[in-house]
Amino acid sequence: MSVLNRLREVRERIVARIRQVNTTTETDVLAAGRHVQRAVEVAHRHIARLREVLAGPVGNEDSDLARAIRSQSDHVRQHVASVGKAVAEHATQVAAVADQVRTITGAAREIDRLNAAARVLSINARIEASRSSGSAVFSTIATEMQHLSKAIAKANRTVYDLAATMEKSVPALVRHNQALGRVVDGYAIEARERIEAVDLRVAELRSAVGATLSESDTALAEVVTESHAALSELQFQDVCAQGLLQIDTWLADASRELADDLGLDDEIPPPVHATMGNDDVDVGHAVAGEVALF
Amino acid sequence: MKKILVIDDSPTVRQQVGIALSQAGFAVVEAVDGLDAIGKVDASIAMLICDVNMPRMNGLEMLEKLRTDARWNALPCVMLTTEGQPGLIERAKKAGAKGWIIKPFKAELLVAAVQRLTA
Repeated sequence: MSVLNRLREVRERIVARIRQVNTTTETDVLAAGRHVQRAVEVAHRHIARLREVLAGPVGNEDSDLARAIRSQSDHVRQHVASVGKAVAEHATQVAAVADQVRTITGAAREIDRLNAAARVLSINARIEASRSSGSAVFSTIATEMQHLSKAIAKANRTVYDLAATMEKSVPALVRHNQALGRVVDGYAIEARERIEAVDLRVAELRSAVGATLSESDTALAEVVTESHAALSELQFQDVCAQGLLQIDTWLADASRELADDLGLDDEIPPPVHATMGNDDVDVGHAVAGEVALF
Repeated sequence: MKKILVIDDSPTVRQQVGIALSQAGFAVVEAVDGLDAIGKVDASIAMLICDVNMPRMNGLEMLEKLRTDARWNALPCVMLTTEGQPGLIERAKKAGAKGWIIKPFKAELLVAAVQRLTA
């Protein structure tokens, strides 16, 4: 077997071994790349879900929960305002009742005055009856006037009693209304404080959600940066694979030179991985990674 | 989503470039050499990232061939290679390459270059 044939065999064995090594490292690096990709996908998915869950309910003014809280607060405010208005109207009505009671009492006094006049008329009629020797007409008038006066006095007593009862009730009504007003005012203050507390908590929650989402975005950016770093580190495989295959280029060159030296005309198989530059592949290239844009 | 054609005979490089670009919101199409790439270039491709040393047709030959077709005259292309000889870089420039990156690349720089050239 000639030296060149032995060299060819050696080249074939070397190339076969290099391809075996390259295939192994390539398989492992591809697997590592898939893991990197999956890790980033998981982070993306998780953060997207987090954003959906957190930003949805409270993350902004238009979220469902924010709208519900705002609606509830508005409802409480409106309810408190309407109760306060009702209490104020009630107070007005109580004052009107007090006025009306006073009017009734005034009217009863006027009736008393008229009744006194009726009694005088009755007495006058009785005097006239005695003057005119027992005139039946005057006597009848005197009797009817007396009956009427008694009936009016009786009815007016009922009015007086009713007015007196109402006069006694009005202050109780006023006190009750004032107490109700105080309760409503107290509730309004408490409701306002609670609404403000809820608004504050919502604002705090929204702020916390915003901070969390911001942190998540930062975390995702870190994951992406780290994945880029991992991808950068994994590129040794391609550079080393080319570097190893370059051994065959040197052996091919050496075979060609040997054939020339020996004056042989043997055909030398070309390198399995021809490079345009024909330089050594520098696996630790100083300018590796630099981007030169034209 | 902008589509980038990544041309490299190394599956690990195609994968690594693909992951970096897809994370940045690009769609990636792969070709294993220059000849394969010529069959895959179409109007939907926004940019090429191309190795130099490849079997069947190397990256510079592919770029020079593409430039003979008026449709692909302005298609941005960045060479991604272990080579760094000035003569090759000059030839790439003449063929209309927009950049030259020496492997191993830094993913964030590659992504930034692609974003700039496809903006």
